[in-house]
Order: sequence, then structure tokens, then C-alpha cells
Amino acid sequence: MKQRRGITVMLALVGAALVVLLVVFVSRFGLDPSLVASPLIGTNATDQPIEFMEKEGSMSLTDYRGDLVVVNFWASWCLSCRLEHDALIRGADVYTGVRFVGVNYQDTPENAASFLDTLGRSDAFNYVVDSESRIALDFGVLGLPETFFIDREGVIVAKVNGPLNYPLLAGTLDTMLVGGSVESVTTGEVQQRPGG
Amino acid sequence: MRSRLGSVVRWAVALMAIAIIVGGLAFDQPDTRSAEQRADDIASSLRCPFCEGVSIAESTSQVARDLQAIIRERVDEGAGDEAITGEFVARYGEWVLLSPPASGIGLALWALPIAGLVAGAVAVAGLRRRSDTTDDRDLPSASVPSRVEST
Amino acid sequence: MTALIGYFGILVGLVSALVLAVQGYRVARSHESMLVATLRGPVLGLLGGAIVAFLALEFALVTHNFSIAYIAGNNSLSTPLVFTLASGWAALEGSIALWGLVLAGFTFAVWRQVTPSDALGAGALSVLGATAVFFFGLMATVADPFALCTQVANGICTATSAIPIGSSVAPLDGVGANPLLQNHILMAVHPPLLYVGYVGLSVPFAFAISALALGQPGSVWLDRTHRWTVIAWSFLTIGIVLGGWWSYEVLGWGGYWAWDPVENAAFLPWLTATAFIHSAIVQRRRGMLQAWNFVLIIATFGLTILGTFLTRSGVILSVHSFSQSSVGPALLAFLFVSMVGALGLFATRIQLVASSPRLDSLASREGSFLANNLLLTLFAFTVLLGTMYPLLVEAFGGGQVSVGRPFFDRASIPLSFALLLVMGIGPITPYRSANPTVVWSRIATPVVVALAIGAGAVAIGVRSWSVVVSVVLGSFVISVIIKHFAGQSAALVRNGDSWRSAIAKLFVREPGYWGGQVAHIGVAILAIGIATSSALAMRAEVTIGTGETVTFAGYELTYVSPFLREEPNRNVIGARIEVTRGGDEFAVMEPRVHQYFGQGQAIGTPDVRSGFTEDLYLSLARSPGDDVVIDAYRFPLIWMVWSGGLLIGLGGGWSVVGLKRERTRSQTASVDA
Repeated sequence: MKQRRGITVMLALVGAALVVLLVVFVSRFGLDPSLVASPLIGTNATDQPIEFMEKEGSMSLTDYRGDLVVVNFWASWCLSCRLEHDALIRGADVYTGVRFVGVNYQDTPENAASFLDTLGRSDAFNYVVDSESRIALDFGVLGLPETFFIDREGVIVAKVNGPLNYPLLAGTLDTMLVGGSVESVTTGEVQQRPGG
Repeated sequence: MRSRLGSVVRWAVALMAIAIIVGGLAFDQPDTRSAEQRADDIASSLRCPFCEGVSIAESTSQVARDLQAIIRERVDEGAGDEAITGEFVARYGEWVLLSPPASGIGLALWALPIAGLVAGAVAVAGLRRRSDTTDDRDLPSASVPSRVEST
Repeated sequence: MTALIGYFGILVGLVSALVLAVQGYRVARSHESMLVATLRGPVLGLLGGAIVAFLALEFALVTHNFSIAYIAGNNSLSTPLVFTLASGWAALEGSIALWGLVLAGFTFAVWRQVTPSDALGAGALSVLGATAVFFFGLMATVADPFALCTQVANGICTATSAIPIGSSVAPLDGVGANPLLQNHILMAVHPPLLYVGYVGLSVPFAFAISALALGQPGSVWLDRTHRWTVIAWSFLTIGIVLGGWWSYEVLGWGGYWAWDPVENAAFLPWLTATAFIHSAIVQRRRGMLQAWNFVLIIATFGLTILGTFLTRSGVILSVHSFSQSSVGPALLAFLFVSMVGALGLFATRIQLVASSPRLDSLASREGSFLANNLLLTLFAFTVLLGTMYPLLVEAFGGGQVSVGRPFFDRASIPLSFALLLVMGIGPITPYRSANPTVVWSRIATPVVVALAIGAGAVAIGVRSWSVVVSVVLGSFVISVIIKHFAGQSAALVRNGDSWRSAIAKLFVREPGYWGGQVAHIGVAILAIGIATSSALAMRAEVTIGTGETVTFAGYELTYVSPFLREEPNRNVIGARIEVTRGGDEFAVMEPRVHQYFGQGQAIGTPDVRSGFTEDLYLSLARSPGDDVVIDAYRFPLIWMVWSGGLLIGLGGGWSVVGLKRERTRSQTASVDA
């Protein structure tokens, strides 16, 4: 009978495991399995030099200490980057006190230039390029587009996974300007390579 | 006579083989891993952030190549293995480790299989016939074909 | 019209499956032998409906009928014929249709063996019918391969109607097959083999459920399904091996197994089915493990459904997944209902399951079978845990973690070594209680041989302990088997047989045993191949200017020129590399990139030269120009991985022939135990 009891216990365990699995799977439906929370919120943004995309020389985020900074990672093959482009341009034109940095990533210079030629540039935007993935590593980038908000002390305070929209951008900046706390959000899927 | 000689030869061969294997593996290992090997080992333990569930070493994407180059650079600068993985963990969280540490949140992953082994071994041992019981009622029926091993 | 016929086939299959499920149950319960004849109609209806549906799908593919959304999404005018045919199972809906066809085929084959007074068989047909209801139900609703395209934008179907009646629009050309899938011929054969394996395992499951429901939990269900199980298992084995081979030839990172969730999903039922095959032998010979065999086959069936779910639901990130779809929740519900039903039934019948006779000694054949089952089950548990762990941790608010190759490798190496050891000793250990002297006399020489081979490996410079241990254990397994075989045939020769007829006699007389041993040799070869090809691999990224030569692993690689080739369905961009070895001409290799028309993503395609001692594997790192950047790999003895894997499947196949012969023989001959 000892054996019977063992089997009953085992069945109960298996049943419990099944229920757990069911709950876990149901909770996953519709979620993007690729999104990962960033541990970088609350840490200092990188001080590495970043090359300009369409001109000689480089910049560093430390140059902007004292100002709010928006760092946006994009590429010409990234579909959501097209969706958020207008919001970024408008934001850069409206929030003149905020520094905007557009990091072109995993792209070719020609494609990147024609992307901007087609969709428009803002003079207030600093277009830079991360040709060796050093900046992307420093920001823990997992896909495109991703946008980071940096406060006046150079601390990363929030991250947006997926395409930005203007209300989100403006709302976040307004809160930061008056010194409030902002939250990271996910607006949609990020893309990891052309086509996919 | 032949069989005794044979058994001596057998033992001699076995001992020599063991000596060669142990000697070779224990005392003749290359002293240090090359920088390339070290970088590769580190890259194998880190999940490629821009790819689908494979390590930086295995992915063929450009991002993975860039990250491999960065790891190699750190190795050449003299950074330790843990410092380099630590840099990735600081940016991506423990998510970037393909083998979670056997502590904290990763503990159960390592402990449960060992617990399973123990439980299974106990269960198998429990199937042994205890000396006081004799139950032959379920002995195999005659419908079973002969097998080679019946000695 | 094609769509309508195909959909009609699905409906016929669905209705037949329903009737079969209900009528099979009634027949099984009623004990009226007359009624068995009434199953003929639904079985033939199921098979006929499945054939019509699948042929209609293939016909629509071959005729490029783009008004059907599946065709428009997975085929194009330029797709070559073989991949057009293979598109029938390359995407979600088609793969379910193939699943239905295979299931219908197995149901038909089971039906042909059901005799008039066969309640167990009728019950099994009922279970298979119920399974078919689910899969044909999927086809009729959320995974309808014949949904019509009702709206087209930018050449892509943007709206469909599930029931193929009414007006439809067709894009001028289809999107084409997934480039990864049409890049290699193995992709055309790997999924069907895998499905035969997966679906075949539902036959022993169906018999097990029928036996439980009828309250006949003896060994009859095992005797009747052992062949099915081994056939399905052999196909599953070959399917997995070919999948790995495909990955090696196509994906360009030089590997064949990434411990990806979807690969694990195919491996899990293989592990439990392997355990089941062995524990079934213990029950059939010694009456032990009756309850355990039910647990194993139920778990195996559950794992096949779980695997299907993981591949098709998008809950886990994987290179192999189909796109997210509404099939996920349906499969999850089916998994849950079938497992709760099966385990619940088992729990209510547990009193009927005979308690196991006790084990005389752990040092016996049964003991080694138990060790085998413990290790295989533990292996399956560990792989399942590793695959699910990230989901579990996240669901319980523990943040995000990853479990990948380093974990699985570390867990599977000791388990595999232990399995090899048991595999070497077990098959020559007598049943009941083994005399250590007898066992030792059978393994002494193999131990020495294995150690000598291991020492040889060290002597030629191998310093990886995992390779040395694999070589020692692998050659131990092989030499035990060879010695045993030689001993047996020598005994026949002493009785006057010629060597050739002695060998043939052994294989023909005891194919169950020797087929199994062939599979064991396959496992040993596979283990040596895995360890050697990974631990002794060489890899380098090399940059070569035009006309220049770079040395890699004893080969001289000369970059001749880039090339561009236009093929009917794709553009091929590559680099021509002349390879010499020690100055001797070796090969001209063309690592390349395939750009399929209508597909955004270009697919890197490695060029592989396989040899007896090693493979040379070149893969483009970026588009070639004045210079070329190549990932070069050298994999020693990797052919052992494929040949070992295939040998496992072939050994299984041979033992099936054996089981058939054994059964006919055991009906006539009285046998000793």
C-alpha cells in the first residue's frame, strides 16, 4: 500500500504542476517574449564619445550635463521608427531646452541618410552613429526603437520600449521639467533585425 | 596457462592506459587559456541581446560580432572573467546570463534536478524485495521469448 | 473550388472523428462483437477526409491558387516544385493538416488490427477519434488552411474568411515560402518524420487510456502497442537528427543543437518515450512497473502536445516558432483537458493496477532498466525545468532570467555519461540477480579495450576530459556489444554454422535484442561525435583580400572573387574561395547569401566540406567585396553525430521487425523464462 500512497502523492504533484503551467502560459498570451526590464534606470548614462553621423567629430552625453537629454536608438530598417519619427521631430522643435540625440544603430550611412531625407530632420536633433555597438551595450539596448530619458545630473530615469508618440514624449518631458518622477513604459514590440 | 598470462597482460594494459589518461588530463593541461579562448568562453555564457535566445558566441548577427569584439578588447585589457560578465549584467540584468547562478532566483533550477535524483533513487531502492516478503505471484508469464542473456 | 473541396474534406474528417469517438466508446463498453463493424465507416471517413483535405492543399499549392490565404502567404510563382510541395507543412495551418493526415493514417492502421471482440482496440480507436476531433476542429476553425483571401493590400492578404464560400481576391503573386525553410532539402523531410513520431506516440497512449477505462490494466495494451511505440520512436529519432543536420547546413553558426525551447520540445517526448520502451520490456518480462508505464506514456503524450503548443503559441522566443496565433490557447486547453482526464482516469483505476513484484537485486537486468528509467526521466525533468524556468520565474514575479546552453550542457553531460555506463553494463546483465563474476567476465576485456582507446586519444594530444570520458564510455559500450555478439556467433559456429549464417541467424532470431544493441551502438557513436565535434572544434573569423591567402587549421584559403548568380527564385551573392591543404588542391568553396524574391531577409548559407576526420565549414560574415570576411570552422568527426543518430533510428526499426517475428514465434513455441 505504501506504493499506492507514493503514486497518489505523485499524481497530486503532477496535477499541481499542470495547474501552475496553465496559469503561467495563460499569463503569457499576447506578451512580447523579447522585452526585458532595464536595470539601468537610476544609473549614470555613459560618458563614452559618440561619433556624429553626418559630420566629423564626436560628442559625449556629459557635454549636456545640466540639461534634460532624450536618447533615441533607431535604424532605417526599423518599422516602428517610422511611426515615432514625427513625434521626435516635433518634440525636438518644441522642447528647445531639451537635448535630443538620435543614435543610428546597425544601419548603413546611405540608408540612414535617405531615411532622414524622406521623413525629415530637425536641426535641434543630434544624429550620431554607434558603429561598434558600444553605446548600445552601455544602454542595454535589446531592439529598436528604444528611447532613454536622462535628467540634469546625467542619470537615466526612464526608458520607452517600442515607438514613442507625442503625448508620451511631451508628458514625460513635462514631468521631468518640473522635477517629478517618470516611469518606463512599453508601447509596442521592438525589432531586432531587418524584415522580422 | 594462456588465460593467466592473458589476464596479466590485460591488467598491465589497463593500468598503463589509466596512467596515460590520468597523467595526460591531470598533469599535462595547457597552462593557460589563450585570450581568444577566454573571450569565447565568456561570449558563450552571455545571451545575445539582439538575437533569439542564443549566446553571443553562437549568433552570427553583426551585434553579436560587435559584442564579441568588445569582450575580446576587455580580455586584452586584462579584465577578469567576472568583471566582464558583470559589465553585461549591470546593463541587461541577470537575464543576460545563460546559466543562472545557483543562488537566489536560480537556486531551484540547480537544486530541483538533484532533489529529483535523490527522490528517484529512494523510489528505486524502495522497489527492492525485502527479505521477509516473498511474492512470486507476478512472475512473468510464459509468453516471453527467450533472450540471449539467460545464463 | 479547391478550397471548398478541401474544407469539405476537413468537415468529413471532423464528423467522422466525432462519430468514431462516440461509437468506439459504445462498442468498447457494450461487448457486442457485431458493433465493431460500425467503426468501419467513421475510420474510412476520417482517412478519406484527411486525404482529400491534404491533397486539395497540395493541389492548390502546385496550381498557385493565391485566392487561398495560406497559399498566398507561403508560396509564390517562383518557388521550386519541391518546396512548393513542402509548403504544405511549412507553416502553421498546413502543419496541422499534415498532423491530421498522419493521425488518420495511424487510426486506419490500428483499425485494421481490431478484431470483432476487441473492446481494447475499439476503446483505443475512440481515444484516437477524440484526438482527431481536436485537430480537425482546429483545421475547421482557427487553423483553417483553406481560408479565402478577401482583401489584398500591397500584395499581402489582409483579411480572410474561414469558410471558403463567397467571393475572394487573389494577389498577383504570393509571398513565397519562408526562406529558412526553402534553403535546404532536409526541411522538406524533417517535419513529416517528426510528425509521424509525435502522432505515432498517441497510439500507445490511446491503448493505455482504453485499458484503464475498461479496467484491464495488464500487459495486453503494451504487447499490442510495443511495435507502434518503437516505430514512432524511430521516426522521432530520425526526425530530430535530421533537424539538427538541417540546422548545421543552413543556419551558418556551425552548430546543430542550441537547446532552444522548440528543440527541447521535440527532445522531451523522445526522452520519455525512450524510457517507456525500456520500462515496457521490464513489465512484459517481469511484470514490474505497471503503474509507471501508464505514467510514462501519459507524460509522453502530454509532452508531444506541449511541444506543439510551444512551437505554435509564441509564448517562448525561439528561432523555430511559427508566428503567434490563436491556435495557442486551443492547444493549451487540449493539453490541459487531456492530461487532467488521463491522470484522473489513472487515479480512479489505480486499485486495479497490479502492484509490482519486488526487485530481487539492484544488480540485475531489471536494476539496470530501473537506472535507465531514473536517468532518462531525470533528464526529461531537467530539460523541462530549464525550458520552463524563465517563464516560471517571471510569472512569480522573480524578474527575467535566461536558461541556455551552459546550463543544459552542464546538466546533460553527467546524465549522459551515467546513461552510457548503464547502457554498457545493462544489456549483458542477467535478469533476477546477477552473479558479479558473470558480469565481470563479460565486461573485463571491453573495459581494457575502452581504456586503451581512451589512452590512445590522450596520446594523440586530446586534453579535454569530456572527450576522453566520452571516448572511453562510448568504446566500452561498443566493445561490450561486439564481444557479446562475437561470443554468441562463435557458439553457433561451434554447432556447425558458418560465420556468415551465424551472424544472420542472430539478427533474424533475436532482432528485438540485437536491433536494440544496434541502437545502443548508435548512441555511443553519437556521444563520441557530440563531444569531439564540440570540444575540439576550431573557429576563427578571417579576413581575406582578393587573391590573398590565409591559413586556417591547416587549410589555405584563397579568396578568388565575389560572385552574383541569378536563380529562378533567388539571387545568390557569394565569395569563391579556393581551398588547399598542405599545398594540395582540396576544394573550391562558395559561402554565400541567398536573397529570396519577395522576402526581406537575406539568408546566409554556409558551404560545408565533409570528410572522414573533420568538416571544413565556411560562412560569410558580411557581403564580399574587395575583401571577404568569413567565419571558418573545423569540426572533427561530426559525421559521427549524424550517422550515430541515424543508426539509433535504424536499430529501432530493425527491432520492430524483430518484435513482429517474436510474436509469431511465441505463439508456436513454448519458451523458457
